[in-house]
Parts: sequence; C-alpha cells; structure tokens
Amino acid sequence: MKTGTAATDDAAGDGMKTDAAATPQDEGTPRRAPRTPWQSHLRTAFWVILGFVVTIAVWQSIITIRDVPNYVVPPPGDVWESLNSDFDTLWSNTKPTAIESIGGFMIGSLGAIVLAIIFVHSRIISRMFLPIVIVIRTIPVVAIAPVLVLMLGNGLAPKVVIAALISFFPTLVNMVEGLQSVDSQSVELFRVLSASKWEVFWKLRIYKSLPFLFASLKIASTASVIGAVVAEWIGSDEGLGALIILATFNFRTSLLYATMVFASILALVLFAAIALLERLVVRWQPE
Amino acid sequence: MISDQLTDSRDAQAAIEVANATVRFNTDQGEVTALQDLSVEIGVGQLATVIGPSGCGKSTLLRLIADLLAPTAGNVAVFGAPSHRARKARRLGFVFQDAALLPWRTAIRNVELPLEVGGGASGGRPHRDPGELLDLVGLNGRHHAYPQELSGGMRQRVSIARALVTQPQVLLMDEPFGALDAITRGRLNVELLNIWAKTATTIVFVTHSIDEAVFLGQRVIVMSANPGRVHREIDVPIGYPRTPDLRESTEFVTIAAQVRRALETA
Repeated sequence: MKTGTAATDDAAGDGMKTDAAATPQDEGTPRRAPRTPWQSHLRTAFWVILGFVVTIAVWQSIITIRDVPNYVVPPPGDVWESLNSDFDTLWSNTKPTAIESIGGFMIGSLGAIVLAIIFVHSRIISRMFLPIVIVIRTIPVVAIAPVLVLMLGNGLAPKVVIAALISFFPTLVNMVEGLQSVDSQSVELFRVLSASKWEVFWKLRIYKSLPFLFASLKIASTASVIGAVVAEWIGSDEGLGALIILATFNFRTSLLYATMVFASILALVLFAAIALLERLVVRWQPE
Repeated sequence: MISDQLTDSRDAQAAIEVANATVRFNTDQGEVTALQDLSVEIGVGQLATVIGPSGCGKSTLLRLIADLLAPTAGNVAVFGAPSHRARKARRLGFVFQDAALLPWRTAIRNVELPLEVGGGASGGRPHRDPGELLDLVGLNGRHHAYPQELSGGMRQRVSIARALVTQPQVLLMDEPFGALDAITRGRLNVELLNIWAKTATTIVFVTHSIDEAVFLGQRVIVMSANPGRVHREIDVPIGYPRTPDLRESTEFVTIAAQVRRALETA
C-alpha cells in the first residue's frame, strides 16, 4: 500500500520535472511538486483513519479468536449500536459533565494565572504559599473528591471545584515558569530603555509566558474532564461519570464503552478549542 | 576633515569618560575582577572600537557605560553626567550581540518599542520616524515582517534601527555582527559607517575581529584580560568614507599588524 502511493507520487513529481526541464539552472529545486496544505491535511487524515480501522479490526479479531464474553469486552459493533440507540441518554449526560469541566477549567485556570502573577511579583507571598500549593498538589484528586462532596453537597459545586483544582496546578506552575522565562538580553534591553516594572510585565513577561500558558491550558482542558468525571463517581445521578457507574453495575458494557467515547470526544473538543485559540493568539511562533 | 574632528573631539568635553573604574562580581568560584582600574575617554562623535581576548571585560565595559552595571569603584560619566542620567534621558542606544528582537512584534513594531516604554516619545523628547529608520538600515518593504521571517543580518539591522529611534548621542554595540557570515558582516560594516556619517553619533563598538576593529574605528582600544584593563590605544589615521578595498592598502595592513601584536602581548 505504502510503496504504491510513493510510486504514484514520484511519477507525478517526474512529470513536473520534465515540464520544467527546459530550464537547466533549477538543479536545486526539490524533485517532488510541493503539496498544497489541503493535500497534506488529507494525507494526515488518511493515516489517522487507517490507524483507527486497524485498531478496531484487531479489537474485533481478539474477541472472535479468544471468545471473550460480551459483558467483559463488547465487540465494536455493539458499541456502535449503543452509540446510536443510547444517544439521547449519552447526550443528556454529556451536558452536565461539559458544564462542570468547562466551568472548572475556566475558574481553575483564571485563578492560576492570577496567583502566578502575584507569586512572580512578590517573593514573600511566593515563599509563604508556594510550599502549601505544592503539598496540596501531591494529594490525588480521588482523595480530595469525597472531602469536597461532604463539604459542598451533591450538586454541581463539588464537581466544578474538583475540575478547577485539577486545572489549577499545571497552569500555575507553567505560568510562573513562563513569566520568569525572560532572557537576560531582553531584561537589559528594557533596562536600557528605562522601562518600568509595569511595562516589562505587559510588553515582555506576558508575551514570554503565553506559549507556556497554552501548553498547560491544553493539559488542563483534558484534565478538567477527568476531574468532573471522577467527582461524579463519588456522588451524582447525572453526568458521564454517573453513567459509567450505572453501566458498570448493570453489566451494560457496550454503554460503558460508548460513555468513554463521549468523555473522550468532550476532552478532545476542549483541547481543540484551546489549540485553536493558541493559533489565533500566539501568531509569532514559527510553525 | 577627519583629523580635525579627531583633534576637536579630544579637546572638547568627552562623550564618555570612564575614570579608574573597577568592576568585581561575586560568583560561585569567588570574587572575579572583570575590570581593574580602567580609564578611557571617548570624544563626542568618535567611533572607537574595543578589541581584546575573551574574558577581558569588553562587554562589561559597555554595560558599565550603559548603566546596566554599577562600578565597584571609580566613575562613569556620559556627557559630564552620571551614566544613569544619560540612560534615563535616552542618550544611550545599545545593540546586542544577537539582536534581541521581540519575536511577537514585526520589524516596525520592534523599532517603535523604545517610543512606548520608559516615558517613550512623550514630553517633546527627540525621536526619529521608525519607518524612515528602517529604510535607512535597508529594510524597505520588510517593515511588517516578523523577526523569524528575517535573516540574521536583517534582524541586526532592525535592532540598529531600534537603538537609533530615540536619537541617542551614544551608541553602544556589543559584537553586533559577530554571528553573521563574512559577506554580510562586511556589507554591514560599510553601512554602519554610512549611518555614523549621517547621524554623527558617538559609537563604541566591541568586536573580536581585528579587521573589523581597524576598518570601522578612528581608534582601536586593545584590552587585556585577568583583570580587564586597557592595554593599548591605537589610532587609525585613515579618512572616511572607507571602502572594502581599504583592507588591501599598506596603511590598513600595517595598523592591523600593530593591533595583532598588541593583542599578542595583551
């Protein structure tokens, strides 16, 4: 398959070459005709789809060969059927989880950005509270979740708080690092220009921190979905987390897998939204 | 005319006066003396080049003049006033080794930076038009390019334009062409001399290259290391405009040899 495509490609390239062969000086030009962005996107999509197809084929064949019972691992066909027949259930449970993750993600990230700015500007506050932040960070979410459910009840609040907590730490750590990532020459440049601390912050540090910030926001966006789902396990009657518990206890394995697909799509959508935002904001980074 | 300028600048008030300056740093390896009891005077409108072995404190000397460093002992005066006053009054321009452009700003926005910070262009402070300056350094048509779209030589041109936008009286250049290829470097040397002729700025130019030091400077300050001090000062009595052919002249070769010998004993 692969060699086949390459051969066709070369043939096309050679065709181009003979057309342009009249000019002998273009010795250094690449042999292949440059691909348009669309062509390269299609090419990427092709391999990704092929990867999925192979994975599903392997999944199905293992079930067939080893005779795995459907309630342990459902065949892909059953999961597909559940995705269709249980769509309404899945969709209505995705909405609360999405609200919790997005809400938590925004609160957590915003809090982290504000705290990072405070930490970078005040060494005393940073010295006092950074250790506490690091200690809290080491507590696993699954351990904090019950505490928060006890404190905040069974509603939306504990889920949002857990999603916020899980988004908070990577963003805080990265943002502090980003704000401090200024190189000595830039600092000297701003000093020669007699720039104020405020100007150094708004015209240098903020920009330097943006690539760091987006790297952590991408992590936080998917982590916030994990946070919301875990929080729903502890105590909830709606949301993808609740649906996972329900499907597991009722041995509805196909529904369980379909729920995982929905959770994964939710995380991917959030990730893609942040990646898109990054492309719009951080335009100066070389591709 | 140039010899007039030379004598004039020597007699008149100095643009830069470093008197018995010592700079010590505390490092992990203990105290390091970067500059020891260094005195140097650079006249108004002069172009002086500074050369010396690695670690002789060439960059430290520039940073001392720019008020990026304070002397441990001694005095630094720019136009008769302490160097921090010159810095705050925007009398100093600094060109860094690797351009130090802000990658999120286009060429023109980089040149505009000095007008936006530190009081900027307010209060009737003199400044030049950023667009005109970019044209002057040869970036016509590339005003809106981002630094990563420009070659190393073009980036350094932008950073020179940025340093000139506040109309500084003193331009401090820290091995600005050190990372460029020989051809680009030679071309920028000629262009720097043109800019100097047009702006009448006092320039202190630090370099590693004997050729560059002699080609550009009215005076070559040879420094020696451990601790950094002025080893010798060699005048270059060759008139301007200087062209690349100058490098083949006997005069040039003789002075270059003089500088080389001074460096060997440094």
